[in-house]
Amino acid sequence: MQAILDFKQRYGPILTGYVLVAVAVWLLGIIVLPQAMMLEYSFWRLDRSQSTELETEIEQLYMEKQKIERQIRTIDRDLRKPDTVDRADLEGQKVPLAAQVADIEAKLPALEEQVTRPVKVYGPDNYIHFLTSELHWTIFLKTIWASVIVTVVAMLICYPVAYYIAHVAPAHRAPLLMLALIVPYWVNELLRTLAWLMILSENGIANLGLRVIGLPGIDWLNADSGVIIGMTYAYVLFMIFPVYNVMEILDRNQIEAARDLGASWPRIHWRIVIPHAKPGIAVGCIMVFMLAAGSFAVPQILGGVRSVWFTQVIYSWFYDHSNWNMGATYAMGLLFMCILFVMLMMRLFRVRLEDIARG
Amino acid sequence: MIRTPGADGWMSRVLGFYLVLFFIYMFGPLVIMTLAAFNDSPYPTVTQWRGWTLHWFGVLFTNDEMWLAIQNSVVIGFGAMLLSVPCGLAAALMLTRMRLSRTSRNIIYGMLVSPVLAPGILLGISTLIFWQNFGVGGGPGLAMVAQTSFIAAYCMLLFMARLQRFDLTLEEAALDLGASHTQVFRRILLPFLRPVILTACVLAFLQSLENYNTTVFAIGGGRTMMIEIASNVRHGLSPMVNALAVVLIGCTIVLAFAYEVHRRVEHKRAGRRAITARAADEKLAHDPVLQPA
Repeated sequence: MQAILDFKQRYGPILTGYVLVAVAVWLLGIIVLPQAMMLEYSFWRLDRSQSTELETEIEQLYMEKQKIERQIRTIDRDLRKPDTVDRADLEGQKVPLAAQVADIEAKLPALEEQVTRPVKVYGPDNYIHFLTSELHWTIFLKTIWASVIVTVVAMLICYPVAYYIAHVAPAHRAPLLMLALIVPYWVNELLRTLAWLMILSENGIANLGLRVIGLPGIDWLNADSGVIIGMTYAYVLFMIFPVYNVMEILDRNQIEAARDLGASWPRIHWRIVIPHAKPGIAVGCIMVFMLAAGSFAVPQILGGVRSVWFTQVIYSWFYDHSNWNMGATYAMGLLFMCILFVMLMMRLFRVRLEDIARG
Repeated sequence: MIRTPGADGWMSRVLGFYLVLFFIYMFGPLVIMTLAAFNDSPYPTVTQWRGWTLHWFGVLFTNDEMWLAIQNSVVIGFGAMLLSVPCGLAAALMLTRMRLSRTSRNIIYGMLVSPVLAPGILLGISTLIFWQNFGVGGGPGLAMVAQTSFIAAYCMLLFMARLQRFDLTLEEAALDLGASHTQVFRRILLPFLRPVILTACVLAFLQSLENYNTTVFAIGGGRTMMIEIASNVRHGLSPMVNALAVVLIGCTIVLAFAYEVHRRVEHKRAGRRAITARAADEKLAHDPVLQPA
């Protein structure tokens, strides 16, 4: 509270109000509440199983109503006959019957509304469905596993590049090399993926190359390998920049000193460069893993009909089955996995959340 | 032999060779995609060359659906920009200027940055679900809101980096000299932030334009340029998409060079400013009036 008052002291009420409102709208309205709502959605489903029971009940009520109305009509007809004697008696019979009809008519709207609006049932049913669906569970594990592979491969590809640009290349050339990397980095992931479609398609360059050396072509796109290759290419640069940024600030004298003291190159990397680069590597791994696990574009383009990925399952819950509750549940599964991965990285590389976000 | 500090001679050569391979890996696919845009073949390929043509660029420029999708993208881009930049600026001011406790600052910062780290589709999904409760279905409006969740974080990081270099005594001096709060904001803070506001606007617009994963969930059945590209690729690929890719890569290269030139100019200007400041300091240090008695 004191902090807000101090702020107001300095910047006045208008700016203070703007800051508070804008941050509240963003934090609550765009981040926290939607996520909370997604969590809530994942814990209920619309139950339509009761509606068949209700429908028979409604049908019976209608039939009963018709029966009673028929009785009333018979009585009316009798009443209209000139030779009827016990008029008072018949009128007396009509009263309870009319009351019954009114009773049924009062009951019907509530029941009918229950049929058109299925019951909201809270519980872990969606999660149980997800965990027991062997197909979806397999796709989920495949997606996670592939993302881990992409992350590790990206790290292996990037480490030497980052090291070279930071410490081996002549100082004046480093900015140029980084600029050259910015171009593919800024090219959209869809386009980068499209480029690989031309390489990996049935008559693409990869298979042409294989045939030239006498090997049979590979159906990359249906074998999941297409998606993994595409994701590695699309996200590898998200590893380069964080790793380069930490390597750049490593004092070269440390490497020199270790070298002069007779340390071998693997030892220098293991004891000096890698420990120094750890926060950058952690950030890069987290970025690449998240992008790969949550990638929708790459499987859409490079995944054949027989290569289905978890994000596509989520999409189909939303847009093919119109079952948003299941979609939310599967999305929570993905989110849970990502949070787990971040925590694992933090433990593994001994970095704190602030270091990661700052990267 | 030149001895580079980071590696011995032979190793430096191995690494250099590896770097060449890496750059071929990075640019090769893009070159292939570009070449296919000029191939006179009904589907994108470079393995069956049928001669050079500009035909596919013509097809691109007369494709009404694509133009409509690009229009949508631009509208959404401006919307996302108008939402993200003010949110990002407000949060940056709060985090750099309010004397919050360390814990609450870290919590707010962590929550605001989390959309950058979260998979994009989750942002689209949660926005879609949240607004359904208010009767708002997927569409361009929701796409803007969903994109804002992470684009505002990028803007915030830009503003924070700038604000951390800001000299607070300037504001204090202005206030002491009787400036009003609006004057402090308009005459001191805003001019200091102006270049970053511009950068943030461009960045927000571009981020929105090229977003696919978040947008495709939040927009319902709507189309943006990226969605149009994806659906073109999925249903009957034609080199028209490659032509669009060439145009976009061209824009990227131009932007990258503009960025580099701008960076160099700034770098030089900062260097000159430092020299002037040092000279002024030295002058002051020798000023007889200011010498301690």
